[in-house]
Amino acid sequence: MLEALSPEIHILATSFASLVLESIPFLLLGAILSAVMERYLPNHWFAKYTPRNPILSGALGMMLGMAMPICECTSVILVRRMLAKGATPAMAFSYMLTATVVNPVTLAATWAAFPYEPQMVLWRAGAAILLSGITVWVLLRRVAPDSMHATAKGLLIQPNCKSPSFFSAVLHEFQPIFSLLALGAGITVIVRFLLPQSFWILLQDSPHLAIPAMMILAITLSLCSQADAFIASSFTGISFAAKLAFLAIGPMVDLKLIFIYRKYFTTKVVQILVFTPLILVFTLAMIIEVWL
Amino acid sequence: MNRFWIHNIVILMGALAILALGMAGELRQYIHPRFHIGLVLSAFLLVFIVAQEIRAKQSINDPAAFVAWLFLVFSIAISYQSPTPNPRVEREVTSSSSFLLTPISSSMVKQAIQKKKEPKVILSSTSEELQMSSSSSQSTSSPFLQTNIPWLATQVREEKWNYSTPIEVRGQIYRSDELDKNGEIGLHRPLVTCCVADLVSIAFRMPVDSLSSFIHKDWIIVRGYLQHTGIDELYRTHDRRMQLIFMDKAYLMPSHIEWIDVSVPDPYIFFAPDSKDFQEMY
Repeated sequence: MLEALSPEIHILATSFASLVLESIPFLLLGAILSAVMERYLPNHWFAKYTPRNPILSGALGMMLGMAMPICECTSVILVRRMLAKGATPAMAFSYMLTATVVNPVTLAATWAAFPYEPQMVLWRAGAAILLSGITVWVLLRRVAPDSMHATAKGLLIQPNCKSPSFFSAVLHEFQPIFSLLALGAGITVIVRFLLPQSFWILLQDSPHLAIPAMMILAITLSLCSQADAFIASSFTGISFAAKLAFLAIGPMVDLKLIFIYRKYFTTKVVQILVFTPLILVFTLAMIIEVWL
Repeated sequence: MNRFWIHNIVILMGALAILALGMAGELRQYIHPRFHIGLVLSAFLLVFIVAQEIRAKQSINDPAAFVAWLFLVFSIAISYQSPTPNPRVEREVTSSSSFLLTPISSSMVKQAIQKKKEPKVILSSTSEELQMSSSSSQSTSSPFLQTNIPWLATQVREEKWNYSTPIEVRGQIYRSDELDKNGEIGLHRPLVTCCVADLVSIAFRMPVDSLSSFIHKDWIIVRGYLQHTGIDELYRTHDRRMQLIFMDKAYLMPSHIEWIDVSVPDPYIFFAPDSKDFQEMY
C-alpha cells in the first residue's frame, strides 16, 4: 500500500505505528482498571484502608508494583484515579515511579539481559526505590497534598456526562491518554530518525559523556521497561554506571511520558517529576562511575 | 456528516485495521508476537465500546484523539506490506533501495517460492568444503545447525559456543568502506524485543573472496562455521532505522553461500525468553 512513498516515510510510519500499537493494550488496561476503581471502589476507600503516614504509604505504593506489574503509561492513569479515591500522594506517586521497574517481569528481563552483571538487577531495583523515595519526598515538600487531590478530582469531573456507562467511562479515560501517547511517539520517532551518527560515536569514544548521553538516549527512545534492559546490555563498550543511568531514567522520564504528565499534573508537579529524577540519576551514576 | 460520526468512524477504522492485521497474522510487522493477543482483544473491545457509544448516541469530543487515530490509520496504511503477489516481493532482496525494516509475510514467501529462480550458489575457497544438502535448506538430515545470528552472538558472547559446530544462518548483507578494505562483508539479522521501534541488528563479519558478488542488502543463506578471533569487542554502527552491532569475537567462515529471492518468512528474530525457542528461530 502507498508504495511510491519514500523509504524514510516508510520507516517513520512503521516505527510510529509499532510504538502506538504496542501501547494500546496497556493503555486500555489502565483505562479499564481506572473505570473499575471509579465505579466499584467507594470514594474514600484508600483513605480508610491504607496508612496515612507518608513513609508507610510510600512503601505500600512501591510494593503494589510487585502485585500489579504494569507499564508506565498505565500507571499514570491509575495514579490519577488513586488520588481521586483518597490515596495519599506518597502512595500514588511511589506506585507510579516504581511499579514499572520493581516488578517480576522487568526484573526478570533485566536479569536475562545482563547474564554477566546480575548485580544490575539489584542496582536497578535499588535505584528505582531510591529515586522514587526522594522524588516523592521533594513532591510532598514542594506541593500541598490537598492541591494534588483537588487536581485529580477536577480532571475526573465530567460535567456534560450524566452517569456514563462503564464502557463509556473506559473510552473517556482511554482517548486523552491515547492522543498524548501518539504525540509522544511521533516526536520520539522523528528525534530518533534525526539523531546523528556522531551521537553514537560519542557514546563509544567518550566515557565521560556516556552518562548524560545514555540518559538522553533513554528519554529519546521512550522504550518499554521490559525492552530497555536488552538495549542497554547491547552497549558493551559503555560503563556500568552509564548503563544503569539509562535503565534508571527511562521508566521515569521519557518523551511520551512528559506529554502524559503535562496533561494530568500541574506544571510544578511535572517539573518535580522530570527534573528530580534527572538530577538524581546523573548524580548517582557519576558517584558509581567515580568511586565504584 | 457530523462530528459524532466522524469521531466514532475513525476509532472504528483504527480498531478494524488492527483486527484485520491480527486475523492476517501480519501484526508481526510491528510488534512482538507475545503482544498480539492483547492487541487483538483490545481492538475487539474498542469496536464493542464504539458500537455502544453509537447506540447510545454518545461521543467524546476529543479532537486530539481523533487526530491520533487518524495518524495511526495512515501510518498502518503507509507501512503495511501487502501479502498479495506483487513486484515488491522480488524487490525486497534485489533492489539497493530496499529496506531491512520491510517485513515479508509467510504468504508472500509461499507465493514467491513458487516463482523463485534457481538459487545462485557460491562455494567459498576460504574454508574446508563441508557436506551439505544441495537445495533444501530445511532438510532434516543436514549436518548444519539451522539457527539465527542473534542467538549465535549470544552464545559467542557468553563463551558457550562450540566452534566446531557447522551452522546454517540467513541474513542480510551489510557493506561499508571499512569492511571492504578488509575484504569482508557483514551478515546481520534484526532482533525485536518488544516492537519494531526497538530494533537492533546483530552482525558477524564474514571474509569473502569476491566483494563484487555481494550487494548491500541482498539476502543470503550461509553454511559454514564460526571462527574465534580472540577480539573481545563489539563494533556498533547506526543508521536511521536501527543499531547494527557486530560481534567481533568470532568471524563467520562460509563454506557455502546461497542467494535467496525471498529470504525468510519474517526478517525479524523475535526475542524469546526461552533460549530453546530463540535458538530454533531461523
